Amino acid sequence: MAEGILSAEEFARNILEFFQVSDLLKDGWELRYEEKHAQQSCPYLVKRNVLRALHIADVGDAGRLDEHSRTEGAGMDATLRNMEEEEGEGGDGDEDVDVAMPDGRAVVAACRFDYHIVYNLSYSVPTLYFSACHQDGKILSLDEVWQSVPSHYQRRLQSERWTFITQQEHPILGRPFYCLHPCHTADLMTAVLKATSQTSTSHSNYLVTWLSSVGPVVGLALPLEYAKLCEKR
Amino acid sequence: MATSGQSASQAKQLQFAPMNSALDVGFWHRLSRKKLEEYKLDDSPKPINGYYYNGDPDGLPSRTSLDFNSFDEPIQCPPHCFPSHGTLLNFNTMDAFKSCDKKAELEKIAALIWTDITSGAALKDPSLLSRFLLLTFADLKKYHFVFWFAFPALCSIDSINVSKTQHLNQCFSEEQIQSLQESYDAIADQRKGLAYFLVQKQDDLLVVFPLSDWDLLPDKTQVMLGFCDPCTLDQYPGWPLRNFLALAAYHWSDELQNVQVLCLRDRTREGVRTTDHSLVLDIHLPSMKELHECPKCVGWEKNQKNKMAPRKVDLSASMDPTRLAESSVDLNLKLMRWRLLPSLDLDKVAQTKCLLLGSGTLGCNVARCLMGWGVRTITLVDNSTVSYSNPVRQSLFEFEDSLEGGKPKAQAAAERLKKIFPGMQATGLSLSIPMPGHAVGSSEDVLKQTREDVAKLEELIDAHDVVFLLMDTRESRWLPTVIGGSKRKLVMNAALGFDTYMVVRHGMKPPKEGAVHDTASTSDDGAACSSACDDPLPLSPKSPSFLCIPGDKLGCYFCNDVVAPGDSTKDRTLDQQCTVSRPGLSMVAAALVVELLVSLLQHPKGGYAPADTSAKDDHLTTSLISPLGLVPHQIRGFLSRYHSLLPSSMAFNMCTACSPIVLERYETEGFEFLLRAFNEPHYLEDLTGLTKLHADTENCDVLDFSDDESITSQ
Repeated sequence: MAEGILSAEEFARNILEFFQVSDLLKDGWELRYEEKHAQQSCPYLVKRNVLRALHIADVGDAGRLDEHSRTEGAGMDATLRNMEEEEGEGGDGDEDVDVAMPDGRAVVAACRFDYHIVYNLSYSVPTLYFSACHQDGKILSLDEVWQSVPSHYQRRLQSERWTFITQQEHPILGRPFYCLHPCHTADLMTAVLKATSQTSTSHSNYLVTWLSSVGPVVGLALPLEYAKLCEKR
Repeated sequence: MATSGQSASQAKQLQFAPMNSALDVGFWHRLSRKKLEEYKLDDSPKPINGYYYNGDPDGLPSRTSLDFNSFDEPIQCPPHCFPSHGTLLNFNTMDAFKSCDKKAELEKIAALIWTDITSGAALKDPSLLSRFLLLTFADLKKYHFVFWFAFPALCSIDSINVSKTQHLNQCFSEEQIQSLQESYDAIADQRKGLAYFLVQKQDDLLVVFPLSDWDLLPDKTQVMLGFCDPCTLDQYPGWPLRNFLALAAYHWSDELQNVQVLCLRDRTREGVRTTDHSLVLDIHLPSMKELHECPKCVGWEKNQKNKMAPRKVDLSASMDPTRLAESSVDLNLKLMRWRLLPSLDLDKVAQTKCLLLGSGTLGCNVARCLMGWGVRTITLVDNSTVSYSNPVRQSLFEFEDSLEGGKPKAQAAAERLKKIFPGMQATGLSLSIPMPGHAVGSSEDVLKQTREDVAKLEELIDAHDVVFLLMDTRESRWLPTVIGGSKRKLVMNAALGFDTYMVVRHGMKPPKEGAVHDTASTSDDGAACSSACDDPLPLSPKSPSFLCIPGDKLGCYFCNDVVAPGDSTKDRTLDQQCTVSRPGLSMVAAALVVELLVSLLQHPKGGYAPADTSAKDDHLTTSLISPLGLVPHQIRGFLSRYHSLLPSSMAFNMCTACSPIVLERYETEGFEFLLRAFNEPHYLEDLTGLTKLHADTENCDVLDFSDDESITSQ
């Protein structure tokens, strides 16, 4: 087998092991199977609902709302403004106090990330898909996703180009997702495995090695406990 | 035990951190699909579900999450999350959304919770205490959604007071906490999640019981209430506690007047689990035992402006297929930049407005290739209609376009571009381009029409950055060459023979006096070339300056001709009129003319870039200034030998299309000058001195002939 890649069979074994550790650690990964092709279904891993407080120079929903009322002047926006002016319709006066943050602070804006690990047949490597939404469900733009990458990784991403973020349709769900493009994964893994003087076959969990290398770029950190899967047996 | 500032000894009113909503875009995808395929106009309440989590890092808001799976039964919570039962009211109009009686809708949910409490159903399934209401209006044409969440919480009649707030590890020993975790896990695993529970100290260890075990517990005054707390604030419990306290106040107020509440926060970080930061509250719980009707209910979520009003989200960027196509086209090009050519300026390409004169094989293929490069503004001009023979070669047409006399080519091509990619700003115009040597005639109507056609063409060239000459006759290229040269536009020319092609970028005349002087423009930058190229005179191919001609001294399509464009369609058979060429030739030439333009746009000097040539194989070694490579003046290809050359040639000072005298006459006399050129066969040749040149050459020939007579025999 060529260097730095992983067969579908090994991938399935890797993610089962991974999933068991996640379960023990309460790390929140779910194991799913592609529904359509039950015969030869390849499992994939999903971690939903990871919240990250991001300091993204966000246009903010309020800003977006205004922007649209300017450009469209649609009835929807007029009605919304109208409802804001008639504020308090939902309840009476004390409710405003009752549903306020008790310490008077503003609620922190947070983004929701969902991570999916899917096998890519063409490249024979795992691929990390992720979705990133503001709290109202609006997807982060590619620029916002870039801003969410920790600064020390940004330089690495630019200079080494061992991986980069792009937008693609999720191969199983068919909805647009961001992903770390798999075209450099084999190169990266060859280098990593060489550095740790391992080969992909003697290596007992490719997935953990790979994910711990690329995950932190998009806010996915792996607890050290997973490393136990990489120890040679 | 040190209790830090947080445990005030005197009682104060218990406050709760409100619940927030958090939506994944998958929720909106699913709602849109449901609305289109299932709900349609049905706006009756629909069951949905959400979930919350008690393991978030500090500082994050407590929230109920909804995603793609929120419509599935049974509820599919992620591991270690707790379900919340929702009611969706999706309205058909914005007015219905606005006029709905929100208070009444919230009270309906409150009544459900109250019934579940009083009937005891919530003791068996405490997840019934976590409910939410979601009002939505979905504008599926624009992919705009308006929504408003409520997380109903039953209010206590009297205020609930808290006398002490501590962390779990301030109240209990490590061993006790360990026993709590193990006991919780054992019960939670059996029940697939356990959001509300009872805790009692037994043999000095903490043991967890489901609510339904209340009757079995000894000494009920020592029971603690436990719930999984999504709040991360250091001082306050989260929203789910409110309905739990209502349940306790209704059922157990006799035993639990003063009760400890465990706000379980269960976090795993770096593989290490901790619950130490959970809160333990000592509270005084007023009884609700005598209450016979549903108490007051609160819980509407505020919007981003902190007002009691709905939110709106515009998801067109991720849901509108048109927008998705646009962003993926952009992304595809960006990938090229990220991976291969970091210095590529794609915006410059995207913003270039292209005018395509001719919408035949070349026009269609050029348009497609420009579209591939991300050019968004393309205007096509042609004066004919799609015929039956066209679609097989002209890649923007289909058979249908040739029916009923055929659609106008330019419009049909523009329509097709928009079908291929809705983000295109494509326009098609039927216009005849007046040609020199094709007498206009003198009738008022014809003259007026010609005047209008010229004006329209001038207007079009003004409004674009690049003019592509892709017509099937030589002389129709003359007028746009003159206008484009005068207006200092990039003029790109592609022409086909049977198995030869020629692609040429016209030389860009120096900026007009008084015009803003582009710093990176004129010919003194020719110093960048390997040899001196300032001297425009030596035309001999052997002169070194031939190798490198600055952009403002390059010729146009007509410079190499010693005859003015005349009526080349006259006296020709049909197959000669419709330029018959090998079918692949147009694709090759169209691709090259677009690639040449893009290379030129990326060159720091743009249209003034000096020409790279293949003379002496210079093209193999010269350093590349445009990130995309060479910017030759011409590309001449010979398909029979699959060979191409990159010649360059100087502007000819007697050129009938770009010589100074022609441009000057056009700029001073305008239409009158053009009209003479159209009408008088030899006008241009006389004007530029070609007539005289011909005469001189004939004399030369004679002289040459006599001189060389002795050696012609070889």
